[in-house]
Amino acid sequence: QRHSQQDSHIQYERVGADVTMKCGSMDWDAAVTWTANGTDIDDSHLNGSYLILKNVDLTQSGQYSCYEGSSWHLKYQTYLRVGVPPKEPLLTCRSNNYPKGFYCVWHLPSPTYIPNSFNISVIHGTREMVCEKDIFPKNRCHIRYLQLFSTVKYKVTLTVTNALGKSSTTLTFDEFAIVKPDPPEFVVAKPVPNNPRRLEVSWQNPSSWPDPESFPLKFFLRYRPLILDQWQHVELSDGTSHTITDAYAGKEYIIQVAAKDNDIGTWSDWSVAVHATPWTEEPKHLTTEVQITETTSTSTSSFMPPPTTKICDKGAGVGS
Amino acid sequence: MAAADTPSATLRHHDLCSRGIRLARKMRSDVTDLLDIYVQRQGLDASISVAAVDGVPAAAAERWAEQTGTQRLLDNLAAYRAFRSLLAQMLEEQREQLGDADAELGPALAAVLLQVSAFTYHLEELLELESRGAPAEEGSEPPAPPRLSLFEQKLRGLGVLRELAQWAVRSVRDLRQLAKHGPGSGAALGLPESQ
Amino acid sequence: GLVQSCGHIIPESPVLALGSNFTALCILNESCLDFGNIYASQIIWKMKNKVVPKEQYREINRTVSSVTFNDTSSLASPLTCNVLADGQIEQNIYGISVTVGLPPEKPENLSCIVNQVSKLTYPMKCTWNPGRPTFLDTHFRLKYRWSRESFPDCIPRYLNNSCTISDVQFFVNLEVWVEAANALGKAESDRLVFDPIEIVKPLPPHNLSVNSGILPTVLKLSWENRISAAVMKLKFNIRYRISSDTNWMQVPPEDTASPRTSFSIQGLRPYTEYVFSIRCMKEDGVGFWSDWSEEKIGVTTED
Repeated sequence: QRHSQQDSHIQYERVGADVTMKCGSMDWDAAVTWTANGTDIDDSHLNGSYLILKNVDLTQSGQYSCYEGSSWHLKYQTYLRVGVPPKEPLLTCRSNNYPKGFYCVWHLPSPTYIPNSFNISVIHGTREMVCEKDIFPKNRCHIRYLQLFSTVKYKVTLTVTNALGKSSTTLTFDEFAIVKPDPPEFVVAKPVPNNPRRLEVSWQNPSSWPDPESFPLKFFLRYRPLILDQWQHVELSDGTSHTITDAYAGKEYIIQVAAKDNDIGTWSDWSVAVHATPWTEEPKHLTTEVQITETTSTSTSSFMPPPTTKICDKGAGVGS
Repeated sequence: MAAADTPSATLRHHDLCSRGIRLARKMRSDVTDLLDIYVQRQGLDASISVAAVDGVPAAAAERWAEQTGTQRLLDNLAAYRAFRSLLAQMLEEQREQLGDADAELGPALAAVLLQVSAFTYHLEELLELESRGAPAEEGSEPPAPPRLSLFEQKLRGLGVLRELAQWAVRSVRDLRQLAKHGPGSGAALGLPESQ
Repeated sequence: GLVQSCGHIIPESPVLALGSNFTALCILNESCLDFGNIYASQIIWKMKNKVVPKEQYREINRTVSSVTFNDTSSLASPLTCNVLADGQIEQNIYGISVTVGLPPEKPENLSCIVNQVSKLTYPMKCTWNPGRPTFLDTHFRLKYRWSRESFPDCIPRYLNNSCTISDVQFFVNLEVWVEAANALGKAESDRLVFDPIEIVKPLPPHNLSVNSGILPTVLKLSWENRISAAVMKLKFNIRYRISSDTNWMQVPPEDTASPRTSFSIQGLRPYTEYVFSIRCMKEDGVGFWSDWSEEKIGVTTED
């Protein structure tokens, strides 16, 4: 019967380290038994009553217990966590709701296998700003712009710490450089009756953009027939619709839209791709039955768009 | 009907705002080009950071969304009058340094100075439409710059142009707020939800 | 003979309006009267060595004789005052040159155009009708100003009916007028007030390229615009013809009426060589069309 009365603690060790565990206060030459996760460890790992683990790896994480030889009293217990110190975290800051504020999001380039803690500091000139952490996702926080149009750069430092080490990343940027809206929403493309070479495309400002009237967005439309790889582009500095006037008659098109603040920042990712086919003449020989040209329609919204453009999965990111 | 609200005043206000926005946008585009030329001609590092320079109006604004239309115009006017003098000083310094041999920086500086002047007149006319009238120019001249070393002069110039580029963006936003509301609207022109 | 000057004519070197009347006075010095025994009655007026009819003379007094011309059109230089000295020798007392001309007319038909010459440079050329010849040295100046700032006058170099301002600013109303001035007067044209953005003739698009696609009846034309979006948005005309043909066809203007950098031309003949050209202007139609671009050849694929 093994008795546990020793409070266990967590012991962090680096991958590849050599680990020696003492059996609590027991002498070196005392007779003991070590278990890993309840399984006895054979004597080859022992040096007297010390447990020796060479060049530990991740699989050796677990609960290690040491019992006194005769009485089976638990004399020592620890939870070994094998891991690595954090590498330099990847930090990105972006404003998709300018001019309200910006958020920073971070992640580690590779796992550490042990718990990490993150600390972020945002300095603007001489002022430290509060970065309000999101409940979810945990690796994100928001900063409200207290000043606009500043030439003073923001300095964001993220420090990640775990039991085995610490690492940090610092970003320095201008207020306007990180402004990147979300893609336009509700992109819809429709044929134009009696116009075999036209497609009417409309979209909406991203809902995350707070005040399009005071901070207007401009848009970049790209379109191509599915039979071609090369896109055609057109930049539109006002309005949320455009008529494509040189569509190949009868060919299905794929269309995407991106957005950018009219004066600062960078382009958003491409919107969801939509498909549409220009209007085509009804074949003359058909008598009564009206043949519905199967065109597909798009939407990302709840309302049922007209059956003219086909929804495409979101995978078609910018530049793909 | 107050002078500011007559149909012609409203039309004039809208025209000044829309052309002012386009002028500010063009100015920003030209100042950005000028910054590239300036950094290259003056042998500076583009990423160098410049501390706030005395006498150079900072574009940074706190609680910008809560400003009234008149405040916006007055802030803009004070800034662009200061920039007009600062750019004139820079042009003079540049001619002393580089003389006529420089066929790029001087003309580019002169063109931006002209646009700053033009934009100042837009602001003065807008203020007049606000039935307020532009404040007199005397006393708004920035202090004569201290005697600076050549390198300090170059840094100061960089600071001026960077701040002007930011002001141009701010002016576009300010005029857009003004355009939303007719002349004589002193009311705060905030965002739908306060900052 | 007479050594020192015995008199003079007033006015000195007058500039006279064509068709007006003119009177000159020849005034003899008192000293000459006593010495040379010369009197105003003996004065003979000559024009270009031709005696002026005596009816046009009048003896004002002993020392002053006047001559009058009712119409300066017949006047010529020099106009001299002479006397018959010592009985028969004609001596010249004094002579003046007379210039006859017209005051400048009001310059008419002032018009201006901003010809883009590079991405950043927009000179503005103004032309006007200088009016009738004035036969006088007449100076024209193109004057321009903002409501609160004047600029140095633009002074034509070789011509008198145009001047080019090296670089104009957009989005600010400019007041422009012409001033003509000569010795007989000054005239000013009507004043134009406009925003130079409204009279731009942009550079045509360049770096055209033609791509044949998968369809044998389609060619895609691509180009680069040379005017910044911060200045203006553009619309286009695209024309094309079969290389061996002279007739141009044009893409419907309504299809190219918005900013773009490419267009797919359809309905072409397979396996045929086409020539393309494009021009542009301000999207709202205010201003001038650019010249047509350089031509670019493209060949449709086989059917």
